[in-house]
Amino acid sequence: MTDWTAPKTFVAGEVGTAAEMNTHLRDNTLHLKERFSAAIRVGATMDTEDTTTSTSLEAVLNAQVSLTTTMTSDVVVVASFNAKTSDHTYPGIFRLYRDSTALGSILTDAEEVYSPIALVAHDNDLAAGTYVYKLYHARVGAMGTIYTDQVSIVAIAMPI
Amino acid sequence: MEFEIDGFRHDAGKVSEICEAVTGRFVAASAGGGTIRLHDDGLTKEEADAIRKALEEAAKEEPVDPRQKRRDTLLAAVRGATTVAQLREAVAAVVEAMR
Repeated sequence: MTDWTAPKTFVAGEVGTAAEMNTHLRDNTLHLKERFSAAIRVGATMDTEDTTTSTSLEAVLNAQVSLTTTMTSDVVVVASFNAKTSDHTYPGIFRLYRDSTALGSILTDAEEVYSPIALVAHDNDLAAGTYVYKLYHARVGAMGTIYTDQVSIVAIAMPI
Repeated sequence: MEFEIDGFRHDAGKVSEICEAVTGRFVAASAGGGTIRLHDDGLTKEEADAIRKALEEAAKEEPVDPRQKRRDTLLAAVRGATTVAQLREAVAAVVEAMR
């Protein structure tokens, strides 16, 4: 990986040396190219209804993407899906996870017919590695069944 | 505990209902695409076997729309009311469901 150097400001008539050109032009260009090339986008869709009566958040079946980063990155994760509850008195809750780490905030919904929902999470300063981003769901309270379907999940890694 | 049962199209509510009928207690469950997950580490082998059998039987039945099932339950409560207090409670439940 090539280090970044604050670009030099040349003055009129100044002739750049080989070392300056290598540092400010070659290396900085390489630095940007390496990050641009290491940006990754992965996506997945799921169209099989998954249901739960659990009050503990658990992974929605097949609603996940695997992301491998080669540099420390900021990752943006977006999931859109349809969800409903069997009883509006007992809403469902939804959250994005990176492996077993909860991301973003919990979203609650209590519609008895399928309605579209979107969740977004920002996963900062993530070391290079392989991660699985998943959508989790659960019910709130002692009754009701939560239904989740038509999940699209996208993760975009931007090297920093 | 996870089961794969071909042709099982019921939701997790039905699975929990079946588990409760077998074990006498609530068992949190998930169901989708024929995969059934039971979230109860305390199930005995006998209970798990009985649940699997009941789930296989249920796979032969058509799933009931949960909203229809709820409507039927609410209407049954209205029809079955024998006192004013019971009727008031049953109607209040209908009104609440319509909100």
